[in-house]
Amino acid sequence: MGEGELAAGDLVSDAKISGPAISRHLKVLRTAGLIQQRADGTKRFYSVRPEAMRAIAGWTMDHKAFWHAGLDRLDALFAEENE
Amino acid sequence: MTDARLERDFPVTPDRLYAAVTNPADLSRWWGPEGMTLGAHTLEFTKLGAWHSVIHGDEGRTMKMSGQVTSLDPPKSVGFTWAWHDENDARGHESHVTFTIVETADGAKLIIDHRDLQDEDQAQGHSRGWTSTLNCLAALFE
Repeated sequence: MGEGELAAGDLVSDAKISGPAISRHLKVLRTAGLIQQRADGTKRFYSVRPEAMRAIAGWTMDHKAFWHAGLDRLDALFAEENE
Repeated sequence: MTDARLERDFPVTPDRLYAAVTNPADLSRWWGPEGMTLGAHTLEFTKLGAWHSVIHGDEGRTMKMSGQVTSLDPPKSVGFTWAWHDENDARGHESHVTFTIVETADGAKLIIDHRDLQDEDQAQGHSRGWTSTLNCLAALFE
């Protein structure tokens, strides 16, 4: 699904868990807005909603990581000035 | 609630260090992680009042945070509030940041105290949980 839409049947055959378990996972992800479903006859196709995935990743970051990165850049800034 | 403290020594005078962590021109040169671009911002820790910044990362990843400068004691310290905004621009949990500058034998030390963070274990647990969930999901769908 990382590369495009997949049929429900393909997801089941690729996964190491049962069909009903996959269905439950897909339902949770769909309710949360992370994936979307399209019906074609009796088949169901699933695809990722990239904007929703990005929203989760982009919401926040570790504070220590933020400051660490800033301090590194401040270091570089002073090094440049002292050259 | 938990606190985070980071310290770093710099080979510059306390005045220069204070300027670098409060002046808009300097702040915009180091604020945020390497590889991410500073977007719209008001980063002016030289006076009391509102600040905000937007940071753009790879793959359209965007983060926004804002707060108020609440205390100024040049050239020793500056304090401000801090909160991340969510994807709907709603301000989240508020924490408190203090920059303290201490003169050292060969320059100056910057101490960053980030206080009143939401339970870090829980926060990191959530983020780890989500990451691993999404990794599993990604592996499943490859």
